[in-house]
Amino acid sequence: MGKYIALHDAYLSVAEALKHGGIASKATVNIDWVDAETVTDETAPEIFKNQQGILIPGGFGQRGIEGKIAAIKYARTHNIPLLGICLGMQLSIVEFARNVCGLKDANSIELDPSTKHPVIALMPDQENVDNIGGTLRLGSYPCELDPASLSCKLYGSTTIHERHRHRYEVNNDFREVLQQYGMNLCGLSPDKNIVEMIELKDHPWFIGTQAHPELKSRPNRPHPLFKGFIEAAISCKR
Amino acid sequence: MPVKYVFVTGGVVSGLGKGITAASLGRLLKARGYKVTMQKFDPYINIDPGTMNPVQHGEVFVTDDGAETDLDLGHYERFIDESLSKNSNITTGKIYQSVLQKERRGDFGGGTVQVIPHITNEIKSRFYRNDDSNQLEIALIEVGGTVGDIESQPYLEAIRQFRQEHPKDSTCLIHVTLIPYLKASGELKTKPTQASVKELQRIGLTPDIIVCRTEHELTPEIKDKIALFCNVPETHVLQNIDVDYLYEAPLAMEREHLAMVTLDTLRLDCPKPDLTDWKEMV
Repeated sequence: MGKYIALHDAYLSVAEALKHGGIASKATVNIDWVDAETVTDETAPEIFKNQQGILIPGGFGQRGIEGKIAAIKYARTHNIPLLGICLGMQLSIVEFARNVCGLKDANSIELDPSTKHPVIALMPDQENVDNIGGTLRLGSYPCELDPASLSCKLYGSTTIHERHRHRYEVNNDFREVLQQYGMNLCGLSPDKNIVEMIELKDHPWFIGTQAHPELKSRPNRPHPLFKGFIEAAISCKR
Repeated sequence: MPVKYVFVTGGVVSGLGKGITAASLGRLLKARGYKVTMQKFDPYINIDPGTMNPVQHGEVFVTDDGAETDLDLGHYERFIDESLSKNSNITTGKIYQSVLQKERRGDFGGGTVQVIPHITNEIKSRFYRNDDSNQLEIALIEVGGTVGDIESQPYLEAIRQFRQEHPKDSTCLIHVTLIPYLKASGELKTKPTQASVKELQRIGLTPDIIVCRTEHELTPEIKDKIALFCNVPETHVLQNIDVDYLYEAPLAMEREHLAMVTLDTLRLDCPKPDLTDWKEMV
């Protein structure tokens, strides 16, 4: 689901990577494009009643945010496989902080600069950046995975490299409380300063990544996260 | 080793799937053991698509080295299974930025800075090169936009000069056009293709291969007609018929012998391709 669904090309690589995941399982992947602005806690059960997986892709800005959070909540509480990418991961943190950790007004600094619980904050090296063009954290960066995590099992490696495009990150001041309530911050930058991947302990398949794994998926070499996501979706009976 | 170049331009309308045609050719050449790289030249003035509205321009594709690029680069990477770089997507904005920096540094020695030769030279200098390589490489270079646009003119002029300056068998020009189908009369129309090739010829470019996007099979008569009016052999007029599934495109273009006629133009061998993996995947 997203807010740019008027043009499917806005999520081209995500849609292709989902298809690649389907190739690996010899399954046809049907994508139902959901407009983030139509989703609330009230409409979510109807909208997602037949879905076997929910993917929240990257994005910027305020519009559609609360809809994405409602979708994440639905996936988390109904054991629906969820893959959160970039902003999708950040909003998974926001949802978890609000509804599980009890930090009612938790938000991203990008979306609510005055929040008392800024679980997503501006990266320190972005503070004095004025130009918007070409100044995001861009390109391939390494990440170390918790060897016991599902993500590590999927990648088959403890060190991975993924491409990035973001300006905000998980606020390290909230790591402890997130972990305490059962969110595994399973992927960190090698210097341990940046949370790169998250997953939920008490959920069959709930993974978020700060990176854009869809950019490295190839039809003949499906990306492990998308492969795993489709496998989980196939076994999610609805 | 010198690099051989395949330029891909588009005519009649945008959104013809030029990128898919180029990427399909990349896959077919790679399947024959050639080392392939791809570039896209976009005639807009933004430095990159990073700040452009996704609903207008589609997704921003990020390369390993951190360039924010056109979504066609995603097709390229997925089809040729190679990682591309910053130099794989050049925009008019980047070209002008570089020329203007040189002007401020005084590199032009007081001369008047002009589209020809300064902008065209800068474009030519961005065409892929790899002087250290001891293996022949084929660079596939797609020019965004449509022939006839004001914005694409410097790129076409640069290609014209480049072809003039290099041996005949080191470049190949593929023009991708549309053959519309008129339902009422049940006819495929070649006139827009003729007009678009005329436009290319007017600026001194003659395509080596014409790839026709079409919803219906092109008859031999239609291919002959296009060949005659556009000054190419009939065997170099290929159809690119709509496919149900994106990844079928290279297989459809293989049936049209796209790689064979390209390699023929470049005077290179055309071994049997190994497309086993790809066919199985499709």
